[in-house]
Amino acid sequence: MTCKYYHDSEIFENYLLNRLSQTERSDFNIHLETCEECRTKLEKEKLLFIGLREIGKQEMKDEIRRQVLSKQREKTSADWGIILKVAAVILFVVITPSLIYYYQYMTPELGQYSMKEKAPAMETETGQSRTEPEEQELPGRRHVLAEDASVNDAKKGQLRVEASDQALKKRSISPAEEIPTSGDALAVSETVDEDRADREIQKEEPAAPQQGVPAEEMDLMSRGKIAPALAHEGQVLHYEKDTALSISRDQKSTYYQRQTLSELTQAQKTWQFRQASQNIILQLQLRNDLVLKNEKFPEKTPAQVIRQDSLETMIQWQVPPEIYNLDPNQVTLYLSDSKTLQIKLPANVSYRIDLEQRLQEAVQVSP
Amino acid sequence: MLKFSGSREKEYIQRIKTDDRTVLGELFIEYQRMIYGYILKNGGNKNDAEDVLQETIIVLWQKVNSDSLQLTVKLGTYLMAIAKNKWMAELRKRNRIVSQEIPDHIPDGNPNSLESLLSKEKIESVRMALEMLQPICKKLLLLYYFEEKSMKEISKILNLANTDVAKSKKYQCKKNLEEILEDHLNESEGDIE
Repeated sequence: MTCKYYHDSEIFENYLLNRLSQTERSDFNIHLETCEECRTKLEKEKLLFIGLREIGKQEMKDEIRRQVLSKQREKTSADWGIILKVAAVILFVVITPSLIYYYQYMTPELGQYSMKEKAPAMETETGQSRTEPEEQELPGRRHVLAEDASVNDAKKGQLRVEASDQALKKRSISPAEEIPTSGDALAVSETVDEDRADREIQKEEPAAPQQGVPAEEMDLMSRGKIAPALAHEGQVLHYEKDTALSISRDQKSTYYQRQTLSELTQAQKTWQFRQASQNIILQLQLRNDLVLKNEKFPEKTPAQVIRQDSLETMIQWQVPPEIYNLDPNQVTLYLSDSKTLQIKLPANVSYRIDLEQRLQEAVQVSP
Repeated sequence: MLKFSGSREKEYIQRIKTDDRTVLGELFIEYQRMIYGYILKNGGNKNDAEDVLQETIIVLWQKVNSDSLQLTVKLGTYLMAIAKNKWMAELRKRNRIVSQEIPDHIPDGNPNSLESLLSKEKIESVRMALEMLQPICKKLLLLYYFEEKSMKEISKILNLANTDVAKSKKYQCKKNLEEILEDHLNESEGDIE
């Protein structure tokens, strides 16, 4: 073998690795043209060289891919760590004030209930649902409400006298709405009534004062519009819907209301007129047979005092649909004396009821 | 000799020289946005971009190890030049035309692009033969032929006594590989006949 390159394996490697100088490369190329053995050897070297490089490249690509995936996973987990920390901070910032708010305003033992502040939280579409903590705090809250409403509702009743007939119709409550379908469903009845009362309170008295009597109420009292008690004669009493329902948690009232509600049927509803701590409750009983004649109310309708004590008087009054469906805000009770109750309806219609039960009927009073 | 400004770039180069392979993934992430942006804007997809960037990093790895390039540009500029060349070659192979002129053309000095000239079957034969070698032989041959490490570096990486031992080992490994490969290729040709 005379070839000077054949046994120099490095020159083949350096040729393939492009490590030869230009002169060396040129000389080797010239030699390859004339040496078949070197060309054959170069082909074998090339096969090995290319194969190794291709394999090396694939392995290094795989290695890069693995490293990148690993680093991305590390980055993701690091990002989640940051996200979780931020979430924890946000949660703390949100939860802490909520808890403070809850314990300050929603828990009677720890804070003073504010009807104005509570209203937005209580307001719901249905008004039916109620949470346990809210149930528990009701007694204390009701007490405050009753006191507030005793003053405010008198004001409302006075102001509502001016309401239009259209508004009156809208506010009329059908018997089915007012009274539960089952007379025995006492608990349900209470809940429904209380919830409705709550909604009415929240809607109608958003800014009820908590302490003292505002100047407007004082003015009404000074003008004799608010009677201090039933015993006072010649006083006007106004519908006290909200208070009548909201005081249902009071120990005495609860007992009384249970008695009343259990007796009610679908065709019954109650109107409560109130001043201070004393009530007159008209339990309306619908009588479809009591029809208007010549568009005039019947001269007499059955009425019976079924309970009377120093605080409350309850009267069962059987009425035609026209009275039954009246908005009680348009009705005024007037104590002409301690024994006679006068019920003033719209259109100058009045009925008189004997509280001593000498007459078990309400007699229409001529205008 | 590669010369790069920037301490971060110098660190990358140093880590390649010391065979710190973890730099591969870091380089990929560091220059991913730049290379991907170019490939995606020039008719490639994410797979193309990933492939080009990987091959670009491999070229850098080889160039640093072979100590065969003098450059005084930023590492990013150099990598972008390699990526553009790679992508141009790929497009030519696909008979596609890049809509834009490729600026900043810097030859990457890659010895050749012979890999694509070899059939997949022959590459698989080499792979099979390589897998039949001792692990140290496979590693040594890849370090020398693919990564273009010097014998001095190889002896250090493989804990061999010195460069001469490394050379001797390389000679034996290569000879074994050639024999296994020749046998395999002969068997394959015999099967075909």
